[in-house]
Amino acid sequence: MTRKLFLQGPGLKKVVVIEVEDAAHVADVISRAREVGADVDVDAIAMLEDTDDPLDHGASLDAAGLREKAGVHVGRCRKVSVVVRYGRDTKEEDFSPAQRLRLAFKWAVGKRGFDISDGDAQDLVLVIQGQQQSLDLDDQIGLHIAGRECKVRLELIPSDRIQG
Amino acid sequence: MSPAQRAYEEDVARAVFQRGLALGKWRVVTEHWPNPLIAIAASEREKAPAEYVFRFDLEGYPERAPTSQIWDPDREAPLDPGCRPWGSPNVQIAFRANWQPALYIPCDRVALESHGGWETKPGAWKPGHDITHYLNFVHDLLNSPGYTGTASASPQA
Repeated sequence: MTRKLFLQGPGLKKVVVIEVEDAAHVADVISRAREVGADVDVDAIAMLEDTDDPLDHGASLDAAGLREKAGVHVGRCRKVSVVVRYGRDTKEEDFSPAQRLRLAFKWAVGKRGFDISDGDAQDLVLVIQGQQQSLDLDDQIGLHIAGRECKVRLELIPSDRIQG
Repeated sequence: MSPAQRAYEEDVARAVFQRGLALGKWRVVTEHWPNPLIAIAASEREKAPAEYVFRFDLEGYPERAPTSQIWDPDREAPLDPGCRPWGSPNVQIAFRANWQPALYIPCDRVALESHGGWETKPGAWKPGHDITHYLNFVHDLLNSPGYTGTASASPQA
């Protein structure tokens, strides 16, 4: 029997479905991720989506919480520095790469970020700095790591600047 | 099978659509081509449903944008105005009943073809987009702070 997992990580442009044996271990998930194009080495980190701690490579899928259709992150970084620009200001915070952008957005518009009112925040979207395509807030933060640096550079912009 | 149906079936098999299913963002109610019914989840609001159903028309997909009506599957008819999503101006106008049988959003075929210049509006349908672009657009509206529930349950409606 096999199970499907939703994989994200550096080198992958979007979420990918991988299929692994039920009896597989976390190390097998990393091997499969490399086969489908993830830009990682065999000693990469694997994390369950929405969590902060790397999984033990020797753990079984069940022990790791990787049930059918679970989200998993495979990458190089334990933490990612998320830099968000809003107008002329910039703020920075560390997140797990397996957390979703929704959490970074909440931080960016919240009290510890730019402290933006709910009314104003609903007209803002997150984009990669210098780009115009709004990001899916269900993307993992680590999907958008570019290069070797454990950093993601984002920008909050009004949704009416988006080109679609 | 038409090229449009083949393209649609390939797109719903892709990881992005499947992950939306797994996250509970949407679900396929019926697959009847070219008019599948797809339910899209909405944030919890008092006296409001957990999801709304949309009857799509996917003729010409994906070269032509999808169009959909907000739908009452029990009556097999467009959803009554009082049962439609309500809230901020963006939400109200997207699901307006006093217009054509389509959503008033820039990724909807009928709305796009009815408005010169809408192809440059935020979220407009572009080459390379697939059904998840439309579904995410509507999901974002139904899960925004501006969505307050149904029109009949909203005091200002």
